[in-house]
Amino acid sequence: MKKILTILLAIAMVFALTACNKPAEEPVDGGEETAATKVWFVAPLATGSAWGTCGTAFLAECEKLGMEGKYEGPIQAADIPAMIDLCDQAIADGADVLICNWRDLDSFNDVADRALAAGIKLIGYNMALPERCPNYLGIDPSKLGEVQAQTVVDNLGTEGINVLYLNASATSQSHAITQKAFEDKLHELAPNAVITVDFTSGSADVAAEKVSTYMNANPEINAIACNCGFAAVAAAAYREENSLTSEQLYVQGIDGGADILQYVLDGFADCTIIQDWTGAGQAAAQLAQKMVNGEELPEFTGLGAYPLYADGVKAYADSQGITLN
Amino acid sequence: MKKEKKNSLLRTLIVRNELSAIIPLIIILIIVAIGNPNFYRLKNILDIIRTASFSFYIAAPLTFLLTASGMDLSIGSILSFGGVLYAKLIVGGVPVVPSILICLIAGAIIGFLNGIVIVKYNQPAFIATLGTQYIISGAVLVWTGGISVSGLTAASKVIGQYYIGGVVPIPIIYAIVIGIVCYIVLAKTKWGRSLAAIGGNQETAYLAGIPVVRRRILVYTIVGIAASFTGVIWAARFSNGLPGAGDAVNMKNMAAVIIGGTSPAGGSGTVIGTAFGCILLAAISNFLVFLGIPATAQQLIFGAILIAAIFIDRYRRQILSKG
Repeated sequence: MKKILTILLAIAMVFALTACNKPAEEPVDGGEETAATKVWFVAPLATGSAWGTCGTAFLAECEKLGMEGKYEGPIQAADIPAMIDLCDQAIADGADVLICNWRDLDSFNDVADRALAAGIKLIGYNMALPERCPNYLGIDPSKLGEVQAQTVVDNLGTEGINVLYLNASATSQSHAITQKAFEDKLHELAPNAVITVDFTSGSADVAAEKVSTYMNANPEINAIACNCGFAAVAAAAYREENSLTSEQLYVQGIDGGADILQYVLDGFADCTIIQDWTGAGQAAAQLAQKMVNGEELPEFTGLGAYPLYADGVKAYADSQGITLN
Repeated sequence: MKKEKKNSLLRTLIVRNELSAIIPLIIILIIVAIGNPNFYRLKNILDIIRTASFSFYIAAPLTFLLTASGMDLSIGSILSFGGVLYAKLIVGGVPVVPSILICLIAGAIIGFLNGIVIVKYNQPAFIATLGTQYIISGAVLVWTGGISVSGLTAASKVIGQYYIGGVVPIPIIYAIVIGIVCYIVLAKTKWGRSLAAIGGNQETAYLAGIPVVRRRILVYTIVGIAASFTGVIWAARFSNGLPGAGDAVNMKNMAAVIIGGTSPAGGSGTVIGTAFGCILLAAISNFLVFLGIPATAQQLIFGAILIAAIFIDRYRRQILSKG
């Protein structure tokens, strides 16, 4: 029995290795190789309603454009050393273009230098790397924060706002920029607004715990604005569980995952700030192709962020191929 | 005579492994009583216990595993898998009870395979379960594309969202039942005591007639069932099967078990201690918010309290060894 299992495991491993080590495309006319352009996208997380959607769209668009796309992310969200390792893998894999969500300006400089030395073209997601990667695309983190603040005021007015802002990461510059923009804009629009900030560390478990704890510790909180998908689900679930109305607890989600869309549709979240993740994935692939073709790219390719309310959920879900109840 | 009685009471208390979690918990309760008495509102206490309950579903059987000198790093991925599978089954029209049973069976199969690889083929648990963690997480990602599964029916959510008497969240009731069963099994049955024997010295346990291989495989299987069950309740509570729901639970659950007084080297374990370990971890996060500690400083204090807890335990053991 042991021997059979060992042989089966060995066969499985050989198959797996063979599949992973698929040879490059055969040269045409016995001359130059026509291997497809290889584009790596290193995201802070390859899963979840936001980054998962981006990845699916990116890979589909790469295929459509005749490129070989790879979409990778660390197991723990925004694990910078793991993301740098993935960038190194892209270099080792002979990528033509590397798209990366540079989480901070210093940590990625070395790997960006290595990539440039290997002749890899770089595109930033959400942030540029000065002197190394001037071109970037994404939702401008600062603009996103402003849209979040504006939406809170649009819904609650300028007085009596006591908002819990749940951010995903305390160590990501792009999240910090969004948070600061949110705070600045909200204080500009509603000078008396009280803002409490906390972080979920990209964990569903932590997000749920934070929401209930803050609501118990500070019953004055009348709004939760989320910059983390898990927090959005936790906040909406809290409102559902406690049968709260929008007047008692305003919930503003983030992104257009099926989970938060369902909550908006069911009336347990007031709206969600849509970052166009499908568009982001598609735009990333398109920019990569333009870059390889030598076309000049704008320094920043911006993607929209806007609030989506219940009346627009069905149409949005249909456009994204998301099935809701 | 009076002094002797007092000493014997102190010794009875100190000898309890659970104290390593109970003492810091008491200190926290005193500090927060001074800092913000709102902490003691019933709703908050129930929320803490509910948070602890989700950890406890896995941590209780994990106590069996650690007592038997095992380890499992795949629980987080099994949790995610269980939740996603439940959501997929419900959305696919399968009734609630069969859906739960299928999830539990799936968890049992994964746990059983862990057990086979580790026990039968004598592979290191750390690597084997880490491998399982990657396989299951990867499978969930391939299956869902990383996107959560929503659209659960109202009936399927009851098991996670119902309040007994409109006050007590139902997840707490599951934790109480699991706690009672696990306590009886570990502390009061021959089967439970055999786990301590296995954890203490496998060879001696084998020579004493304990079916070591079978028991260890069974414990891995139970942990798999518990992890999948947690995923099911999690999905029901949040109306979603989240592919990353279990990403952060591994270390937290192990920490709860060890802080509760179970030896990480095996040989002794306490389900009551694990319950207090889970409550302590949930209470620390909660109390930091109630004391108004800035979010950026919370992790620092959280870590400091954990270190303090293990030093309290060390001090307790020192007193014990001095007799």
